[in-house]
Amino acid sequence: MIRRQFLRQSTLATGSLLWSSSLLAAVGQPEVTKLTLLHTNDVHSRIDPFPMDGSRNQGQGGAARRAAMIAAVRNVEPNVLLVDAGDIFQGTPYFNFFKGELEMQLMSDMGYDAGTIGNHDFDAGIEGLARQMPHANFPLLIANYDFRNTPMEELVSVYKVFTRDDIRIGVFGLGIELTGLVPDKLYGETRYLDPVLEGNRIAKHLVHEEKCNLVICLSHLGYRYKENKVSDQVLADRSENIDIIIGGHTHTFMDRPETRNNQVGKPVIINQVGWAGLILGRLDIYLEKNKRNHCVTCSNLQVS
Amino acid sequence: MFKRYKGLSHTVFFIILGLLAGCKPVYHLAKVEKSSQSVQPGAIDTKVDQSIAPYRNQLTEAMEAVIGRCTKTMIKERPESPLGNWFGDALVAMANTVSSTPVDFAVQNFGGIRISNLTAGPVKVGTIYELMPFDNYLIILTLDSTELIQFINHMAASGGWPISKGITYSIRDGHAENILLNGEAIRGDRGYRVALPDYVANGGDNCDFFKDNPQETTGLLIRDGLIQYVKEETEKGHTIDAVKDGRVKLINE
Repeated sequence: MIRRQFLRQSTLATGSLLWSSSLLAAVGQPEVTKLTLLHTNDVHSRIDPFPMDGSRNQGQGGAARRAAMIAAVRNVEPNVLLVDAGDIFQGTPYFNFFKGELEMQLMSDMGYDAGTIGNHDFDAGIEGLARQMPHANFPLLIANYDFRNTPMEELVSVYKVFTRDDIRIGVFGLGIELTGLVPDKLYGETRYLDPVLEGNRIAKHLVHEEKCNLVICLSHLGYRYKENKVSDQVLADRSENIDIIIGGHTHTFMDRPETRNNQVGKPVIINQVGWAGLILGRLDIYLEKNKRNHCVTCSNLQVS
Repeated sequence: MFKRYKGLSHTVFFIILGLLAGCKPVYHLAKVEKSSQSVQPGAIDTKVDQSIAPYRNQLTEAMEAVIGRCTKTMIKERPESPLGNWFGDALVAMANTVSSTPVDFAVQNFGGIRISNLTAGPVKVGTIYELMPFDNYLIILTLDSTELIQFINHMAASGGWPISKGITYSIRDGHAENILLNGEAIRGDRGYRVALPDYVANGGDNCDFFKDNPQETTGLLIRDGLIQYVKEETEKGHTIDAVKDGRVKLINE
């Protein structure tokens, strides 16, 4: 209340002196920026469409088709971000024969901006993953694998900040616990760190230090579990500063993204698009530039 | 006059400070719309397709080779299934071709079989790759009766894994009971030789209880073993078929 009065006085007192665009935006039509987030997860080396063998997914998927769809979106939308939530490798002979080289090459051709690491990305060993990194012109982001003393040490980043229009988007990755899921010798000295702790730490850094306007987590934790195990839902509930979780691992075809409240009651959106590149995930995100407690176009974030 | 001016400058200073701090615009996450699209047949990116072409040609040639025939579609399910039973029996056959001492039985983790059904029709090299994409090696472990029972219980807890014939048990409330090998109860005075993927032997799927057991390595990739097994069965005039035979039963209270 006091603050509002102060602001009104300020406006009157300063007059035309501070009649800036931001002030205009605050009183008139707000400035809204649209960001188009394209995403995949668990593509599992599905380079070609599913074979025409009478199976449920026959003819669907395929990298060349997906690439055309991505290009079509880029032709229309100015602010596109293309990401993957892990398990790029394993599932077709392309991986067995060529060890992931083609997967990385094609994602680079398609203009992926970032990916994270899934458990199956260790299937050719940590050396095998490291060997394919020269074929990737996009970063693999992972906040909770400590790769010190492994061949991946210098080849990954914790996060990356992207700028689209005037929006700063912080993207980071989280991986699943490897013990029990991946044979020890494949992941070597990789240390798994608590994804909730690391996720909150990085998200906070992205908001406060990197001044990000939007924080996206690429997660290979899995959407949800019956047992007591960290998942995207658990992460969302215990998070602060994460806006969107692009998930993977559980191969969940979500009819619509789920909106959950984080520990300070702010909405977090989770989405995941099954597996095998059967779906190109797309979220159109609208960001309104306005005063901290004022938003004209804000919905209650029930994603349609 | 000077004093008043100074006062005004202070006011302006605080106003600007106030605007910077309190009025600094932020970006509100206002709205999110989902418009994901399924990747259906349609226009393709020719550049990407050209990148794939040389890899695809090399693979196609290798994968299209027909090595056998399946007469009735075999599905994979719990607690047992035709596909799981076929797989388990194939593991025993391949273990016994590479090891001088026969194995008692074989186990394949449920999640390691990567197709939900093996469709009736020609079985190609590519089919076996779909079935077993992982570069898993066949391992032989010798388990004592405690480890064996623990292992079977671990399978029972998740609803049953593919196993070879010879071993039978029932699942009640996620626990194994009436475990028999060739109709005989499990004895404490002997070891049991089991063939399984190195993934499981090394602790995968939470099988950490025999991680430190000595492993008899075979050097055989399970996928290569399966391809060889299918070829040999075909040479013998056999089709690639299996049925459920009650090796794992689910008892509902």
